[in-house]
Amino acid sequence: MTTETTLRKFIMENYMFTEDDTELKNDHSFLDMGILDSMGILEVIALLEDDFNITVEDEEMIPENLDSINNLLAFIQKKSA
Amino acid sequence: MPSTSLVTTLIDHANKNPDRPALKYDVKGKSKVISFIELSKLVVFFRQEVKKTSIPKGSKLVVCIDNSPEYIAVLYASWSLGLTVIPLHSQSKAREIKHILDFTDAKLFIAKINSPLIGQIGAPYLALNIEDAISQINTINSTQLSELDTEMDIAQIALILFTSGTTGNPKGVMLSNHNLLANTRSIVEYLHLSKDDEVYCVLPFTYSYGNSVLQTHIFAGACIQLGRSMLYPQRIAEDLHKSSITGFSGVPSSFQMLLQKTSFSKSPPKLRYITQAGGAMNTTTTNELLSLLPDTDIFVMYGQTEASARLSYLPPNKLLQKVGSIGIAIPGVTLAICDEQGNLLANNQTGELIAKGDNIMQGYWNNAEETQKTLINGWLHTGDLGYADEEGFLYIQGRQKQMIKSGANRIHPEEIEEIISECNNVGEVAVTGVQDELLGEIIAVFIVAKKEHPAEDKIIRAHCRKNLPPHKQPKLIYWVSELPRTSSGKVRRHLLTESIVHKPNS
Repeated sequence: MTTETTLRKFIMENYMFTEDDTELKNDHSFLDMGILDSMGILEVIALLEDDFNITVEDEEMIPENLDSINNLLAFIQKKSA
Repeated sequence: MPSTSLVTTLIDHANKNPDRPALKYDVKGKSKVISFIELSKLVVFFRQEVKKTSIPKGSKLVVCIDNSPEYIAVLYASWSLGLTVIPLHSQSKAREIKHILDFTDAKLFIAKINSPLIGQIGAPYLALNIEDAISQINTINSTQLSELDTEMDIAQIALILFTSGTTGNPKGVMLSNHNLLANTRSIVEYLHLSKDDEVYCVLPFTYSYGNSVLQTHIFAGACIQLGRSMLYPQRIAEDLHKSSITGFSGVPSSFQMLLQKTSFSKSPPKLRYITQAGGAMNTTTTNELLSLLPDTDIFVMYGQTEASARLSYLPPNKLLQKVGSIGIAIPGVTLAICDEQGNLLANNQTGELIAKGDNIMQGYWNNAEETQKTLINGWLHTGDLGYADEEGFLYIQGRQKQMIKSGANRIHPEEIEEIISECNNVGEVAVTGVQDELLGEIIAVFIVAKKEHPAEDKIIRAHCRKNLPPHKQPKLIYWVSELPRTSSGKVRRHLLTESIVHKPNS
């Protein structure tokens, strides 16, 4: 599975409860769309740390890094570089 | 004669200090400032907009808007027209809003111009366009400003705040202009708020706590910075350090998040006070905040929507000495502890906390039964159990009522139960709060599946997602063979809670 597929599957299965791929666009803000709550954000961080071996520092817990599939992809790429 | 209404106070500030900032907020990363004169003119502008709908004086309207200049301006505009505002959480679903419109006989629904709800409600609506309003306020003159409070009546119900549910047996707390003003005055007094303050507000204005932060700071001529979502607490920690912030208001989970999940590790330069309501402050947090913020006054406060917001506060110099206490009555409020028969109890005896004062609600909208149970012989019965120590400092020990407190949200189990019971695989359902280190409580659901139907979480979650806002989504779902009940058939929720111990991230 690509990183994008893994992330999309995680969000859609755990927070949107849908299999309809069209319901989540990669630039959808999790915050504005009400997709994630504060627990959800922590679970996304746990996913990054467990499945992608990335350490997320407190300073990095900001919407620019975490608030959409696209932001997550860019963040993972930056951290893995 | 002091200011006779919250609207009058706003006009006074606009006249005396027109250019002082009233609001600071961000639009797509750009900082914006609205001065007192601009805010007052926005009130006049939206007043005209509301008036155009021909809604009669004394009517009710539902407002569903996030913390924004629009929300504040339309709130004061509606009051200036002698209307009652029913604010609903900005993430409310169409179904909840329609229910409230029906239940309250509200005549108008107000949202932002880009709200997807506009097309879903089917009631007369007003869509607010802030950019349009800002571009037109230059045409508003001082006569229009001075006429703002002419239609106000101090006894008029200003707000109906729904504390429970939008389904089943809704409890809409009716607060008059007089109630709000009385509570605002005493909060301003004990927090020593002045025009030199600037509060960072992350609490939704649609709840009583956020509403009181809004009104007290406008009353004091102070500035309110509209904070970002608690979803990204790191951003809030950065904001608190960067700017001219003198105050921050939160619930226990706000401080837990700041301390545990951000780089908040040194005292912001001008932070004069922080306030916490929605639960006592635990020893660890108290000590951490005291060592981190040696020059900041830390106010632990207590109250409920039925009291406009605030009933007690713990003076900052007593914080260490009285850890776990909710303090003493605020100015103008009398607090007492009583037994089940309503007899007042002596210090150190546990009973129900009751309250008197000009801030106590007028009753629950269209719910005489609950009103009679709550307002007895002039006392508000809070439903909280506690005692006063020998010096009169109050401690809360438990709740008689079943509310779940998750983050800044208050959630009634019945509302979620009703939604979940609609799923075709659900036989019986009970919802309860489970302790959580970060949020205080999270929502847990216990379900007895219908025979021959799959016990699938997915069906439940999909249905909840469609019908409940994000903060009311159940976090934990347990499928059980039966629910523990009393002999009269009532679910014993505390047994459900005890049956699980939830550890975050485990």
